[in-house]
Amino acid sequence: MRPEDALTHARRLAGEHAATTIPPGGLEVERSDQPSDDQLVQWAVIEPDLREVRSTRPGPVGKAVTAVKQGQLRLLGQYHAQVQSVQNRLNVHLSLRSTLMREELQAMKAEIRFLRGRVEELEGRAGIVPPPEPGHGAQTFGDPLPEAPTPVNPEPGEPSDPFGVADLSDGPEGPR
Amino acid sequence: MSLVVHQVIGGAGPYDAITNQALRFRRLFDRWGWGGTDAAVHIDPRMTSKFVPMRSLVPHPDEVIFTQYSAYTPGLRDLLEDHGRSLVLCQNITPPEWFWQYDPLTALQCYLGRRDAERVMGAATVPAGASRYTAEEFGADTVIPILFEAERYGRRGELREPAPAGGEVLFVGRLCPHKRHDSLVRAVALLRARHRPDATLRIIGEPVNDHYGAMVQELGERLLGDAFTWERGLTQEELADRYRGADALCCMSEHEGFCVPILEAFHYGLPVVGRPSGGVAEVAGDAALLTADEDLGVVAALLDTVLGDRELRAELLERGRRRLVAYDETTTAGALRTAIERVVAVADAH
Repeated sequence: MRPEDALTHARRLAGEHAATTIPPGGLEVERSDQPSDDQLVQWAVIEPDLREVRSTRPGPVGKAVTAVKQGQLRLLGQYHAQVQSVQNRLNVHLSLRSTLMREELQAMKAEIRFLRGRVEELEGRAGIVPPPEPGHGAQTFGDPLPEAPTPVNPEPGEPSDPFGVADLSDGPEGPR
Repeated sequence: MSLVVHQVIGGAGPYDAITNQALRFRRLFDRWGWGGTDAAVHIDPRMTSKFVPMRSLVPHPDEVIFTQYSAYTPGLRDLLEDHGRSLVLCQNITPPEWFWQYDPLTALQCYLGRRDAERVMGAATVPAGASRYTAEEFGADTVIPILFEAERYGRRGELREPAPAGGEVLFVGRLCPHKRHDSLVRAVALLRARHRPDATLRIIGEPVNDHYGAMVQELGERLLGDAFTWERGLTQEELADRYRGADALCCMSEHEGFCVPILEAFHYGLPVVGRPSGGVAEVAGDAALLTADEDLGVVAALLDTVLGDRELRAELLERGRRRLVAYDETTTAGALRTAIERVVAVADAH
């Protein structure tokens, strides 16, 4: 067979055997634009693998150096635990804030979309022609209104605006 | 023309491909009677005799800076912008989206590397890429291929006859998400289930981290059992033995700037099956069986076809030999010398 004919042959062969499959599950690589919030929280808690503290030298010298390093780690174990706990406290706090901030922003964007729709509807009813927004095409009145956003209600006892961004929820500034 | 060419790389380590290529380039410069120093930002203690810190490099305006750019290199852009004669050879920088979920630090390095690449290439007198694909990706018009020194790989391989129901599929490369070892394992599992129950898979390479390596291993053992082998830390001789003992190379990678294992497979007489991603199609030319089909059954069927058809393997071996001629050492040496001389010509013209 010529190499040029192999792919056609393989496609036909794959079609003939399509009924024979393999078990699902296991690693299936996925791309992502950024780490998820769950990952950030997981990574925030640092857990260095102390078995990785070793010499890069081969042979008996390396073994001896590894033993010295591991011994020092054991001696300093209590101190390292203290340092880790301080670092973990900051990491967890930052990752949690990042997650909450993202949720707040999503809720705010939804609220802005809802309010913008309401304004357009009222302007349409009143016969007001809004000035064109920079970078936006003409608005079409009569489009279905967006659904109301799910309100983000603080738990009882929590501050209503932990990040001081409530003033932004009135929508974007600028002429309409 | 006698020149002084200083090489700058990000990190110099004993098992690093860029480092080894820089050392081989230096031997070429020595052969041409050119002087210069090799410098790096991060230097492994085992390489201190061969590389000096980049910050200690103070090039004369007439001297040329040649850098292989493969990762974010602090201070490099400033060095290039302050100097009027530079050649930047951009190697592959994997898009970060392959790494965010599996190795965020590598993802960050890739992100910064790709973000800074445009400015580093912009600061070069002559920007170049290791393949046409990489050159175009980073806005260069010059190609300087990887230096493939066939003599380093020992004797060439000959046409082999795989077992009727078997055959060993090989892949060599770091265990990184974009290399898609998961697809490779599944393709070989389909090969065994549908066509060749005794086929085996051997993968060779260091993992991006232990956790990712464990996930690949778990998948391999679950779908292939004893037919799956993962090896790492092999010597050049051991690697050559693995190539000589294999029946086909399968590369399912979805992002490759060049893919040296394809040339290695050609050297050892292995047929190549895989994805036409990045620089793979360019390097393999017409000497490999490449498919972008999502259905891994097509990859399995290609493997079965190439393992069972002696005439096809012979033709691919012959074409692979021709690809090696296209990428032999003299080609790269000539392209490198021409590019450096162009740096001087462009600088002199200004």
